[in-house]
Amino acid sequence: MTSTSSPLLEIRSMTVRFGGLLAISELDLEIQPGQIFALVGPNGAGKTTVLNCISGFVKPAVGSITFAGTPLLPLGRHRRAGLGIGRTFQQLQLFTTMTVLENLLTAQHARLRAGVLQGMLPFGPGKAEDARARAQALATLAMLGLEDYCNTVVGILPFGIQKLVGVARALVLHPRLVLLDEPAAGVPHEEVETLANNLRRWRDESGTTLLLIEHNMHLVQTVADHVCVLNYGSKLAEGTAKTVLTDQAVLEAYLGRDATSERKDLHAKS
Amino acid sequence: MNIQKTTLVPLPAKAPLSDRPHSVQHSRWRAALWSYSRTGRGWPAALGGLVLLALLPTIYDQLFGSSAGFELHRITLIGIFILAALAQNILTGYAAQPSLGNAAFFGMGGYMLAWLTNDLNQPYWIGIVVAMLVSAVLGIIVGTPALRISGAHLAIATLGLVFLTQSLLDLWDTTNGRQSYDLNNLPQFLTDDHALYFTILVVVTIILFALNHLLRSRVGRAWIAIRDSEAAAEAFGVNVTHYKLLAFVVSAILTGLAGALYATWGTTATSTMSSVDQTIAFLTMIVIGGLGSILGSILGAIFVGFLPLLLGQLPSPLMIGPMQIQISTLTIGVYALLLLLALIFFPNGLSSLLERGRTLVAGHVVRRGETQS
Repeated sequence: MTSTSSPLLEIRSMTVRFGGLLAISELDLEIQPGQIFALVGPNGAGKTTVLNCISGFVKPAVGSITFAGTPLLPLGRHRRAGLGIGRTFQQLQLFTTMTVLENLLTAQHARLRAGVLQGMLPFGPGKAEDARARAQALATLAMLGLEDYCNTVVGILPFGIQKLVGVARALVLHPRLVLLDEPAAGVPHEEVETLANNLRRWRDESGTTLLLIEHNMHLVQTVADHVCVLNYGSKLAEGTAKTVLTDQAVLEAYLGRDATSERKDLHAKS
Repeated sequence: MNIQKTTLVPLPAKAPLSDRPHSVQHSRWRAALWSYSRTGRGWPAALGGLVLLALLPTIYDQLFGSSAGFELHRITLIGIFILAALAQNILTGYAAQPSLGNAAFFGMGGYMLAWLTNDLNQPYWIGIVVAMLVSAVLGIIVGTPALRISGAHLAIATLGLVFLTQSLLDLWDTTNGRQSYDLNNLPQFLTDDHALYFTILVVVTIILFALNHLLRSRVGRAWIAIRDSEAAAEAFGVNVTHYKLLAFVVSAILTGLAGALYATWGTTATSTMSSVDQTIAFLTMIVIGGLGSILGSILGAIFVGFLPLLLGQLPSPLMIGPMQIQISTLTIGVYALLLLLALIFFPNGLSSLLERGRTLVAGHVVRRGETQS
C-alpha cells in the first residue's frame, strides 16, 4: 500500500456530539489516493455522520478534517464540491423535477460560471460552457449505461435507476473523492455484481478515490481495498477487507452472529 | 471460517421502500408536467400566439368599433400581470420561497416612477430604471431575513412588509394632500391605447424570452435544485444563501417594473397597489396557473386579468334577496374561492391541465397509430 504518500483525506481525533449523545469519539481516519475505502458497522455507529462531517452538514465539536492539504472544516458546505468532493445520499436527494441530464448539469454548478446576465442570453459564454457540461454529462451517463434515460424526469424513474442517477451525479465532475452512502441498498441483488464491477472500473479509469458506507458485505469484500469498522462512534477494527471481515470479534459482535448461536442465545434467555 | 459465509450473516435489514423519499411518489405528476416547458416544443405555439397578439388591435378595431381603444386598454393589463406572475413564480415556484411581499415591490415601483417623472421631472426611462433599482434594494431588505426564516414564518414576515409599505405610501399621499399619486408627465405616445399595448407586448415578449433562458441556465437550475433538495444543492456547490437572495432581487426588480408599468397603464399610483388584496391576486395567478412554470404564469395572469371583466358583466349592485352586493367587492372573494378550488382539484395549475390534455391527445394518436400498423 502507498503508506509513504500523503493521504487524500485525513481525519484527526474528530468528536461529534448531538446534544448529550456522543456520535463520534476521537476518530482518526486516513484515506489514500486511489483507495476504495469502506466504512462498515451496525446502524447508529456513526458512519453517515462521518460522511456528513466531510460534506459539512455536521460540524464536529473537536478535531480536524484535511482534504488534499486543505482544512475542510472552516469551509462552507457549498465550497467543498469545487475542491473535488462528490457524494451520494442515503435518501437519494435527487432533483426529482428535473430530467436526468439536468441533474447532472446542476451537479456541475461549481465548475460553471454563468450568472444572471449570461443566463438570460440565448448565446455567449454561458451557453458555450453549458454545451461542454452537457457533453460531459452525456459521457458520464454513457459510462453508467443511463443514456436512454437522459431526458426522463427523475421523479418517475424506478428506484434502482434513481440510485444510479445519484451515482452519476456524484461522478460527473470527476471528483477526486466520492462519498457513497449505501450505494447497494435497494438495488436488486443481481445488479449488485454490476455495481461492484463499476466501482472498481471508475477507480481504475479515473483514479477516483471512493469512500463508501455499505451494509452489503458481499459488495464490501469484492471492491474495498481497505475496511474500517465503526461501533458507537469509535474505530473497532481497520485493515484489508479479508483480515477485518474474517476477524472473529468483528463478526460476532458487530456483523451479527450466525444463526445457530443466535438460537442458542434465545434459548438461554427464555 | 471462509469469507463467503459472511454474506449469509443477517445484516440489519434495509427496507428499500421506506428509504424512498416521499416526494418520489407524490411528485410523479408534477415531475411529468414540469418536463413540458423545457422540451422546447412550445416554440411554434409561442410564435403563433405572438402573431395573433400583434394582430389583436386590428381584430379589436373590427370587433368593437369605437370602443376598441377602451377594450384594448383593458387587455393590456394582462401583460403587466404576466410580469408580476413571473416574478412571483421565480420566487415561490422555482426558488421555493413562500414570500407574500411582492405587492410591496409592486407599489414601490409605481410610486417611484410617479415621483421621478412628476416631482423630479426626470425622463420616463429613468423613472423605470429607478423604480427597478429601488425595488431591488427592497428585495435585498426582504430577502436577508428570508435566509434565516422559512415557510410560514417567512410568509408572515413578508406580509408585514406589505402593510408597512402600504402605510408609508399612504402617509406620503396624505402629507401631500392627495388621494393617489397621478402621473401627469408621461410621454405622449404612452397615453395612446394602441402604443401602450404594443409597448407592453414588446416588454413582455423580451422578458419572457430572457427568463425562458435564465430558468434553464445555471442560475435557474440552482433555484430548482434548492426547491428539490437543499442538501444536495449545497453538496454540489450551490451557495444557497446567495441564490435565495438572488431570487428575491430578480423577483423584486421584475415586480418593480410591473408596478411602474401598472402606474403608467392607470396613469396613477395608489397605495392599494401594495396591499394584501394585491398579494392574493399574485398568489392566485401562480397557483391557478401552475407553480414553477412559465406557461403557468401566463395562464394564471390571463385568468386573473379576465376575472374582473367577467364579473363586470354581472349587474351591479347584484341583488340576492334582500342583499345588495357591489360586484367590485366580490373580486377578491372569488380569487380566494378559486385558490381553494385550484388547490383541491388541480394543485399543479392550469398548465398541468393543458399538459394532461396534450398527453391524452398524444397517447390517443400513438394508440391509433399502433392499431393501424
